[in-house]
Amino acid sequence: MGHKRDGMAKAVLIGGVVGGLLSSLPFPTCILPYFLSGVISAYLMSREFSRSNVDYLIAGTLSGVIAGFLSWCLDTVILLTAVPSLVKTYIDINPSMGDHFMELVYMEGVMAVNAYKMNIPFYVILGAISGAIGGILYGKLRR
Amino acid sequence: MEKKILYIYFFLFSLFLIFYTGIFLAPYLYDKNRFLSLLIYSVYSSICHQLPERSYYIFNHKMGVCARCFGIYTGALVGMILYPLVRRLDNFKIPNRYYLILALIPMGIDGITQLLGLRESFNELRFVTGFIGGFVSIFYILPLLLKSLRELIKYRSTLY
Repeated sequence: MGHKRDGMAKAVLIGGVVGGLLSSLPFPTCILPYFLSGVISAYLMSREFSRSNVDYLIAGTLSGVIAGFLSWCLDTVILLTAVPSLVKTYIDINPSMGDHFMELVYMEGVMAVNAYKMNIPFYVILGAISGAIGGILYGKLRR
Repeated sequence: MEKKILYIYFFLFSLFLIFYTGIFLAPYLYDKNRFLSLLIYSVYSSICHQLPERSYYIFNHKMGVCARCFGIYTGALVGMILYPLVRRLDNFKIPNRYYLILALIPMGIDGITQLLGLRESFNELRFVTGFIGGFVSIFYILPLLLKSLRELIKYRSTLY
């Protein structure tokens, strides 16, 4: 039983990490990496043990959670590093704009960052749902 | 038909409807409550690139997701509404997998050729290919979700 649980944990972790990393790459892949995290964990699980639909659902959900969390961490780091330089670039391009406008641009950037930092539950929930769908879809279609 | 299945269906449908409404809510709130609007945009940014040139505009602002994602979710919504009319909710049998592959091929070709830089697609094509993929996918995803959630509820009730 413990061996099976270890196998599941490994599969979930690998699926989650791969999904999280892929979703943060600068390619327009939309929801695909989260699906993929569920599919990968389901595939790795099915290689070792025979599983039920619920197992695929749980593994997909967990890997989606990990992918969502990882993606949020990476996206936030990218955003925090990118926003100040983006605002600076914008101001450099538009030197004729007054201070008031620059303040507005900066406020907008700060607001966007704050909104971004608050949305971690949604990253995790959406990741979990997509991962679960990917996991059970793989489990069913491979049979 | 089991009442539990019906409840699960309505639960999933309500969740999806809330998710779908948010796509319109983000541009609608942009001029009314900027922070809330940005928060909603950032929620969808986790699952969509939201590139302005690949998005539809409504209320003078771009939608929460791109044209392709909007097509996928619209197709899924239409599929969810039609599903109980064309199939029994307690029929968990999924159609042949090749229909799903066939439905995803147009979206795949459109997306991959664009990603490789071979051509540039346009929003109507993105929407239509996404719609086909989303609509057909729901006939695979919904029965699996209904079955798995029913199993999960049964499994939980045996634990307690």
